[in-house]
Amino acid sequence: MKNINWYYPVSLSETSSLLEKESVVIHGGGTNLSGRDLSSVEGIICLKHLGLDSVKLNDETIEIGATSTYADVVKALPPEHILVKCLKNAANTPCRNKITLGGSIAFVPTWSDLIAALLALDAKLILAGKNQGELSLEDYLAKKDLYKKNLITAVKFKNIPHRSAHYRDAKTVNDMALFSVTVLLELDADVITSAKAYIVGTKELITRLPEVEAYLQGKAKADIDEKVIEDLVNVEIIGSRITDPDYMSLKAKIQTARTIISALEGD
Amino acid sequence: MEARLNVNGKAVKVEFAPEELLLDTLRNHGFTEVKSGCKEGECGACIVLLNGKPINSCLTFTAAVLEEDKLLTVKGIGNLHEPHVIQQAFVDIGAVQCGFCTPGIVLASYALLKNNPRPSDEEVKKAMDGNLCRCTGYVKIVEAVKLAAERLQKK
Repeated sequence: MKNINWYYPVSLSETSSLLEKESVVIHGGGTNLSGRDLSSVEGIICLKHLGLDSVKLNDETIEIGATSTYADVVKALPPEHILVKCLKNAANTPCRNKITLGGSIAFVPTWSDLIAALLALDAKLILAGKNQGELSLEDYLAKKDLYKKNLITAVKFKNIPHRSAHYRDAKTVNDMALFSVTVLLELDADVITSAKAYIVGTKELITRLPEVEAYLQGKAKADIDEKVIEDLVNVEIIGSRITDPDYMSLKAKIQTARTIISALEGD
Repeated sequence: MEARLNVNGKAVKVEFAPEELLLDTLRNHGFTEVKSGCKEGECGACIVLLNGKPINSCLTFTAAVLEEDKLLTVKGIGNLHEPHVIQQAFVDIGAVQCGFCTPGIVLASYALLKNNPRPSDEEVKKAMDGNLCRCTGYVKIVEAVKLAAERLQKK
């Protein structure tokens, strides 16, 4: 076993310099790293001294530091916020006390309860390091390899009034999701003015549902036909724990429709 | 590597490998009340409190625990001669079967009752979502936490 050096930077510039080294990895909460083969790792950069664990909330925007844990976010945001609905049941209590937002964005596991909510919120990442600046989460996910030498310092998004719902399909309440459905709606009175719908755990990992979103646009709850939504959802749910993909894909159709209705009902 | 950890209110000098997990470091230094179970964050046998919050020591690198961090194991809240109210409630209700999960569950209960002195059954179950009891004695465990809450209220 080669020797691993731990680094404890106290500034972003120091962190950026450390990221230029070969074979270094970033330690946020450590839940992902602790299960990984570290034989090729020469250095671990611990972010604990950087103070990236704050949640800043104002009327316009919400900015969450990268080392904020799921538990921190659930505590800081109002209970009806989409992120709270998505994260309050993710993993389990001790894990929610450790898993960080930054780490979850960098790794994006197939069972992620976080990523669709952030995409629905049009989240932007604040990066330090080689390509420092702001970047949309969508662009980051599309070109992740470009940002290997970057540190996510925070994620930010508009503080918009919304209704939302999150469905996680898991064998037990604290199991990792086999797939999840996330819906974010903006309404004017009872009419949907903007809809975002995602399924995570698909063949593509994250699938946005533009046909469903277009169908919902301009409709009130009474105008929505769940059968139409089911017909518009055509995704392949895959993964090592899926034994019957056809059944799961059917389930995804039904649960998408139900999740939308649940969001409208404010559950 | 070497570090000074704060465990149960005392400074403990530890030696560990860079990739070593807190679970192993604690057990290697005599804190065998921290149990080694699934080693993947599912069972909660290895739970310790880090600054008052339950975490899985099997998912925590020792090198990432800072000197100012406060660790608490189940022996830090009470012992055989002076059990904590929660520990006594577990005994009185008969919530301990094989006992392997008990340290983690008692610590999860301790963290819950610190923040929520009167939890509902649902809130107790939610706080235990990271603890598995292979003897499946969950009913008694919930009863014990509720009894402990009641007794702590009267104190």
